[in-house]
Amino acid sequence: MKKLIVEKIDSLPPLPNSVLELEEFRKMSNKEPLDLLKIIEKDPLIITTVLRVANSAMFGFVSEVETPSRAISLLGVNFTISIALGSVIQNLIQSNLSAYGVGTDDFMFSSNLASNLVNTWVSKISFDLKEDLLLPAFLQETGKFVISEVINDNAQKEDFLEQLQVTKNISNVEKEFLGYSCARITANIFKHWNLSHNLIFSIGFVEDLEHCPKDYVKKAQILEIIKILCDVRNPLSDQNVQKALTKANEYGLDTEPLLQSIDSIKFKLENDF
Amino acid sequence: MPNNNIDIKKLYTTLKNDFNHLVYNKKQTEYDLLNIINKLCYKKKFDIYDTNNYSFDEISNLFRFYEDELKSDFEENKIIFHSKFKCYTLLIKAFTELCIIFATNLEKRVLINNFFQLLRESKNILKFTIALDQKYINTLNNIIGEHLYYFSHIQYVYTKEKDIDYILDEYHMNLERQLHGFELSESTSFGDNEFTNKDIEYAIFVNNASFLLLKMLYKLDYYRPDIKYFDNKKFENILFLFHEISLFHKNTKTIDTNSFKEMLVKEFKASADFLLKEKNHNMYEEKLALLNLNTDEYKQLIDIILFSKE
Repeated sequence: MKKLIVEKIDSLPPLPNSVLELEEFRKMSNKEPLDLLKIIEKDPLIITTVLRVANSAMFGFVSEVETPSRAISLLGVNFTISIALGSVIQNLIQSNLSAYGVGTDDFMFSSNLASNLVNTWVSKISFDLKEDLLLPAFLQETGKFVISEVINDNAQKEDFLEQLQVTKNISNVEKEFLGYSCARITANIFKHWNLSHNLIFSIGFVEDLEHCPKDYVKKAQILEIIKILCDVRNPLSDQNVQKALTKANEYGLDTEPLLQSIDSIKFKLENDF
Repeated sequence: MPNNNIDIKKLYTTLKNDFNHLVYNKKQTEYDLLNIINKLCYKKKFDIYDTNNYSFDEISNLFRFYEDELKSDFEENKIIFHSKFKCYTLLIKAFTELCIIFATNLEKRVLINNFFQLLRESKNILKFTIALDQKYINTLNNIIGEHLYYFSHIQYVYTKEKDIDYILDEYHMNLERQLHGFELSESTSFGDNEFTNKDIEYAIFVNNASFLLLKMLYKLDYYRPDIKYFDNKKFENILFLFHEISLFHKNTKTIDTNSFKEMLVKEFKASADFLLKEKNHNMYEEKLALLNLNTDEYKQLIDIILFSKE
């Protein structure tokens, strides 16, 4: 099984330069809007997505947002980066998630939910942590595409789905079938793509705090809580919310702001639909 | 924050009066504004300023606090929501005034960009997480717009050792930001404010836009006198945009950089005189205060503005 996973990871296409450039840009202390524009302008897919989001009703921009430059002016640098990264990853991984019984839209919903939690909850813990965790939270389930392929190649889809139904614990089922959790596999994908240590370590040690380097423990704890809440099969389910609050308590994190974020996100979702 | 609407309104009215009094009399200091911001935190402690340093972390927390308050009130009590929304906009105005003070402080002007990023982030989070009515969206969008056309000229652009194409692109983008901001505010009827005069707002926009471009030209003269850029495609983009927004030169052909400077000075002077007459707002003094931070590179421009003023 390990060999199969490694083969799958090795066969992944290289990460587009735009992601690496966006990640580098995101970490800069002085973010020049012009530099962001130059990165975005190279990728038609990013341009399309940014313009689509900027023109959505929720932002209420009456005149049409027709150029990426106008979108950056109106949405701001940080918002534009989040949208841009989302669109690249969505395009990059076009494989299916049938082993989990969900579609790509469900995956994107969970990933956006994770970003939303970082913006609304983690920002209350620390501004720096929010900055560090935005991308890891958004991308931490990327390994699920590889897992789904491996499970399908091994004709284990029915058994895998059945176990997910029974245990409701995705990580345990992943470990049972593959020997590794999604977190480890995602970390290895990012290692393959030469992404930053922050990304690889923060994600790789989720649910493995025992081996986690000291500097990454808090990040791994927070990502674990986000992972529970953004469960691709049952995002924000009552059971997962309870589980996340219990974890937050166990890790000594204040549950009040977490609960506030969950409530406001749920309220917004209910109103949007 | 208090959950009694009368107390919130009282808090808002008192602080709004204090704020207006300071701004109207041009007496606002960093200390006064921080004092208003602290009172708007209403007994919650945010260490946004400590030993001459601003904590972006704490400023972020303050905005998250307000966003949460607004979110829960939006669900539970629209009357309280409305009062707190006013406090929120006052908070943004107080931070905006802080940025105006920073603009003439060599050490602190580097903070302006980060401040505006935080303000814009908060407004977008609010729109992203609350299904706001159009009138509130218009208020927020008008503030976003105003920030863009009121302040995009303040940012200091470093030109040394940069490629000329990049420098011109940077100024073009700043000019575009001013235009995007004005168009956004205009599309909201300036936050549905019936007392806002469109001609005055347009004059502010043109004054800031012409000032931005004058700074660019004189800065290039000072640091990069050897570079000829009049025929540069990037410079043509700037000219094209300028003609689109100008008061008197929509169809005038620009033959060289000197004629361009003359046009810009004319636009600057006309808009500044109009604002002085209609609003008693002295753009000459305001712009000179900004230029006085870098007297060497803007020596000629300072003389020109002083001369236009007379």
